[in-house]
Amino acid sequence: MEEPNERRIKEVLKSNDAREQYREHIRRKVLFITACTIALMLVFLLSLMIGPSDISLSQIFDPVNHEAYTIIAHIRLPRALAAMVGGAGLSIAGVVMQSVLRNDLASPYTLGISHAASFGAALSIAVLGPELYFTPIAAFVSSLVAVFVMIALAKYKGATAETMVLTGVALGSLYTGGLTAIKYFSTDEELAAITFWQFGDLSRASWQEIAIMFLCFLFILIFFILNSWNYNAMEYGDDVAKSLGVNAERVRISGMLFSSFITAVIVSFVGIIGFIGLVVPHIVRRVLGEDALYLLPASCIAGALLLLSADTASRTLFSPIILPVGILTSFLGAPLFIYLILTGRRR
Amino acid sequence: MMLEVRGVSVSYGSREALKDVSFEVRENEVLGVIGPNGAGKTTLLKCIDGIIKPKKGKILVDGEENREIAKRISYVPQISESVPSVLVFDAVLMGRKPYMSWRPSYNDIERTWEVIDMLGIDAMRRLAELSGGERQKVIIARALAQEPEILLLDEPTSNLDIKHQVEIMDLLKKQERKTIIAMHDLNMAVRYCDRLLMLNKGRVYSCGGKEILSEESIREVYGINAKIKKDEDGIWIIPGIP
Repeated sequence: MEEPNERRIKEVLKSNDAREQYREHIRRKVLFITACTIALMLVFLLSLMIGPSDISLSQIFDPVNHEAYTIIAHIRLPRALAAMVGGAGLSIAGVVMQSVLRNDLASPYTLGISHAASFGAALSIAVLGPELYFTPIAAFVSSLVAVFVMIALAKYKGATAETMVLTGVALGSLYTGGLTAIKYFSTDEELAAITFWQFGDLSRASWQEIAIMFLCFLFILIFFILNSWNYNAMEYGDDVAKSLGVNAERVRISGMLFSSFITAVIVSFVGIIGFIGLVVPHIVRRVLGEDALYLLPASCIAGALLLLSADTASRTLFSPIILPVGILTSFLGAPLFIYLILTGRRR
Repeated sequence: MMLEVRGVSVSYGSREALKDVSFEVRENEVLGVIGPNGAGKTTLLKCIDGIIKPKKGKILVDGEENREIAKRISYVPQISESVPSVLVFDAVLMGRKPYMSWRPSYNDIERTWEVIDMLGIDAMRRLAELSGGERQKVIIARALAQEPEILLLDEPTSNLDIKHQVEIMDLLKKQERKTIIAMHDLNMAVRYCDRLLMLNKGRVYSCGGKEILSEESIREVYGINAKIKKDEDGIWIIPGIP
């Protein structure tokens, strides 16, 4: 027989052990985020340096080198920033959609928002012509219409995850149909412009557009992080979330609204970049686990890193040909989608 | 602190799930809610926790409606197969949600450790890899981390082996809180509950001590014959004996 005291001491030691393990677990998460941040900074510098004319590291920071300055300020820096904001924004949209809909396959791309943007852009090109700067505005308005239809239906029918997923899929298919119809009746030039717009292309965004994307992204990121424990609670289902004092419907609707909004902004300015919003949250979830408080910042960094790397690769791999980055990310995403189906877990 | 359920009615579409249900819980006691499938046990628990709004009637906690229910009442739903792949620690920490601002505080973390130590569960395993009984203990730990005055549990021992059934029921009995448990196993109910509430087709059939379980009431509510035996160890319900 053990002395009661001895047993108590053993229990305390065991519990201290568990506490140390938990702290270690948190440290690993922080380490992952730090490592991704360092990698992102390196790739960022690299993306400024390489291209048709190579610029050395010292030239980047040389204020009197006009040639390097022009290339960086007008071509490479805006493109790199657009890649980072776009990748980060699409990734957090994916994290939140997957959480509030309790669905691993939910993403900006699978729920029809990107299709709605394409439809809007195509309509504007067909009606107003390809040169106008109305294209992003039309894409944006069209995706917002899709979002509001989805949310209005959810309000009417009760904002369950199933209603929203099914509505998203149905809308995606409707907009694809509309897009095909527009393409069918378009002239060759319009068709070329529509096809070109659909390829995600990060060189399209101007400095002002990057600033708009960044501000929207920042505001929505803060909103998401403040809500991260609400998203964690939603993982247990609506009943449990409600019993923990979380207004499940409101969290789901605001989460869908803001993640669709940031998607619409990004897609309108740079076109469709598939699968980033699906792939990144999945990779990060595998490494970090489910806690949205860490998942959101980590997905930001990882998303920025992935899209910037993909873009740098797409414009240098087959130089002088510059591949639209959307093609590359889709090639990256499809195998992962299949992998997810094969190894599908939970839910 | 007291809980009053006053004339509560709930309907799903045209089907009335609860009709004019009234009862009170005053003492720190275990109240067992019994009745056949579809009698309204789950609906009643969800109603008390504010997950479903009643069509008529009121739920009063200390004479008031809807006051910080998440901090005063916690709810353990029926055992679910689909759980998020989180650590046990994070699953218990979720019970602190009603007290959190946008993230858990130091105090929330400490309270979570206290509950984990008290129940002796392994904090660093994944919720999804636990067996049914272990998982149920974690969910109860989450409910306790909520520091509620009232615990609601929906069939907490269904699908568990007899060892885990006894473990869970002993654990709940030990809490000395107002506890309402929806149950199927009548022998378990008699053994562990201080009072019983018998529901039949959404109405309260009877409410009171163990004596409300009689051969007649079982026949009327469940539609089966059963024999009730009393000896020095307690009351035994043996179903299927005419």
